[in-house]
Amino acid sequence: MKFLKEVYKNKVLLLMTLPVTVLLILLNYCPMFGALMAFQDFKAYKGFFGSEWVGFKNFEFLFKTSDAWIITRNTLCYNLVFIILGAILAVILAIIFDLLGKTRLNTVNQILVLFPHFISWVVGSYFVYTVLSFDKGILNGIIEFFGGTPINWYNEPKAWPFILPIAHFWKGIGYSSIIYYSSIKGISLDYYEAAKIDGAGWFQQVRYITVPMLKSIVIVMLILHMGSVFRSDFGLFYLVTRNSGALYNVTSTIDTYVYNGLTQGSNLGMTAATGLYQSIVACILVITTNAIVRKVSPDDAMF
Amino acid sequence: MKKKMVKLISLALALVLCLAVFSGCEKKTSDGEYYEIVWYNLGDTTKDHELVNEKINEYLKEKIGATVKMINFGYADYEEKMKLIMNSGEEFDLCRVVNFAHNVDGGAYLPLNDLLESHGQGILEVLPEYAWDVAKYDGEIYAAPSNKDWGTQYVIGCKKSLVEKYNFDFSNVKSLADMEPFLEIIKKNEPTYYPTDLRGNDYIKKLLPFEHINNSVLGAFDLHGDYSKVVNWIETDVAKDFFDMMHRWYQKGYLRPDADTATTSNDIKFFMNCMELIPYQEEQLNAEKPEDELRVFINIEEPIITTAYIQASMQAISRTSKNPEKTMEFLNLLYTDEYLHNLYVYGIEGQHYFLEDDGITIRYPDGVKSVTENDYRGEAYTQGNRYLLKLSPGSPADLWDAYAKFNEESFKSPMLGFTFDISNLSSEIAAMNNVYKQYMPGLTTGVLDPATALPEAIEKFKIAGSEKVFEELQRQYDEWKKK
Repeated sequence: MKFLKEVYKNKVLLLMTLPVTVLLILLNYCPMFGALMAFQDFKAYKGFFGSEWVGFKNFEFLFKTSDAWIITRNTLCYNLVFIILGAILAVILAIIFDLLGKTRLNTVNQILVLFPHFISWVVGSYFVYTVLSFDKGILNGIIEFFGGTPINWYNEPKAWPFILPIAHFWKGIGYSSIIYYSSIKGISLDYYEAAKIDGAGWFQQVRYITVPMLKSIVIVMLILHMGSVFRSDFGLFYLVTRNSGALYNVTSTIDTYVYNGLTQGSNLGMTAATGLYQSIVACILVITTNAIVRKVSPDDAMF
Repeated sequence: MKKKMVKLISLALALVLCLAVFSGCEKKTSDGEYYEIVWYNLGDTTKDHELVNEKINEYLKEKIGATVKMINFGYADYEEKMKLIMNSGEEFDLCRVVNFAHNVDGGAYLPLNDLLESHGQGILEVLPEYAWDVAKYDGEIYAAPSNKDWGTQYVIGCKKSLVEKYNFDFSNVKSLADMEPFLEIIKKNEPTYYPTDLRGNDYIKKLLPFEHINNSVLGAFDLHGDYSKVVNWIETDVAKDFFDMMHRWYQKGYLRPDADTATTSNDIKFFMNCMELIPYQEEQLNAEKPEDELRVFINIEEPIITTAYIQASMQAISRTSKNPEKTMEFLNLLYTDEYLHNLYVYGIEGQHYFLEDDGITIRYPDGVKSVTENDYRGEAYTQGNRYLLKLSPGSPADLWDAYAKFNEESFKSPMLGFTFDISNLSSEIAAMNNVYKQYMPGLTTGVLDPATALPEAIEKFKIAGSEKVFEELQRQYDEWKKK
């Protein structure tokens, strides 16, 4: 009864959320039954109900390799670097934008930093290639100019743990800094004025006002990103590396491994198994991170 | 008032959403009483595609009382698109085959034995026994191979201007290894040229005397040896010598430094590359080329007819087809009806092409230099009977005879028609594919040192399950052999 009363009271608000709810159910919840496909030898003509059940067989190939450890390590480590270093860099960038104030140069700056986000990796990978190409690359040109021997970058595993984060930040940092920039804009100017009266310089203002105020949004973003820590940016790891075999030890991730293994033919069961595996790990990670945050600083936890 | 508006708007939004979902399920109806055959084929969608499609429909309505909807996908995405279409169980009738064994096993195609007997006699008559063998899976026919040149010959192509400049004599060249002295001269005297354009695609391995078995990752037969025993080709001595040689060549600079990852050769000048040829293609490749791009070709293996090559151009009827009989009738026409097949490939006579005086060669309209500039074009080899077609401009008059002779004389692989069923080995094959992509481009181009990389690769293949795959492969082959 109380529930119905509550519904009646909020009927307009509920009605407003209806379209989104319908969308969510249709596009995010209905397809979840498809996850059962991970336990099937799925055949399109037999359909979902006619296909044979095979237990955990579809998951085998993920672990049936000497590289199971390598692909898991790569996926996790790169993502952690992307998330943690990414947050730091994005906050710094946002603060710089804020300090520069509202000048035309700053606007141009922001657009330039944001721009790579809208380039797909298909195109972006050629940007990287123009830098790293053996005979026409900018980087080898510089090395040769100073009398060094050119390096075949796509055969140099040692370089890629650095190249990949640089490429990732080149593309994504502008976009993530926008979120922080807008939160900075949301901080009441009273704080800064008060600080100025007390004689705080710009660094102290940043140190004692901006950064603490950004803390909770940084934590929220961190929790959200934890959900994707077991998925890798396929374009970055497949296209930018030109799928070079010599680099697999440092560039192979779960997604590229699955793609390389299953490009011939399409095994829906095995792909679904990978997706399910990644989702479950992601779910666990999000809940764990949130639990830790709740312990450490309860106000910032998401749920 | 305001509240009412909000209510109305949200209600409207919700409705629109629901409608959008349902309209996706609405069934499209076809043209009145005629059944519409939906046909996915490989090729480009040119400007006059619809026009020719209509013309074909006019003819088909009269001939078999059906229409066809021709949908073409380009080379780059045909396979991807078909995967989606077949996996979603979409209704369609006819398509070019990709990944034959995998899709037959997945149940995408209809068995055709009875249909061919009842509605496809024309196809049965035209194709030889060994072509049908290739289209069989477990003894049942699942597709119709297009009738065309089936043999293929691997050759080395060299730049003519350089061959003449240094007076090269290739009469003793029997394999890739024999090219070494020539490459050395080019390397020494022509600093702007790379001696070869060998890259880390799967092409190089075709120059070795093996016939590779589809789907098996590494399984092959020794072309000159025992065809009853499956070998892991990378563990043979031939392969080992080959990898060593490539590594030596790479270090000497006969290959481009990024040979293992380079995807195109448009950006370099090179002396030698490898390709596959069919009769008269030599002339066609050199026709209308500037002096600088002419090439000399050296045969290194006898022409061979393999399963993979025939399977690359077959048409199959979908299991989701609502009218397989009509579809088969249409397919039958492509093998027997000269007018229809020419219409499909060359377009409308008098608009997209004109007949020369000899009655069999065509020419394009004025101002159209090659077929790629024409307002319509269909692929000539993916469907039907190629021998029914008129000849494209510049072709020798006896082209079809030459093809037929070529097919007859080509070495017919003893495993024609054997398809490796990997349905129980998917995890092993997936893991092996990864090892393959990690090591093979590097080994075949010599970028990796075989002394360390080869044992490493073999070991990794074993962990991925290569031994199990080979056992199963040999078992299936023996069983197939017995039949």
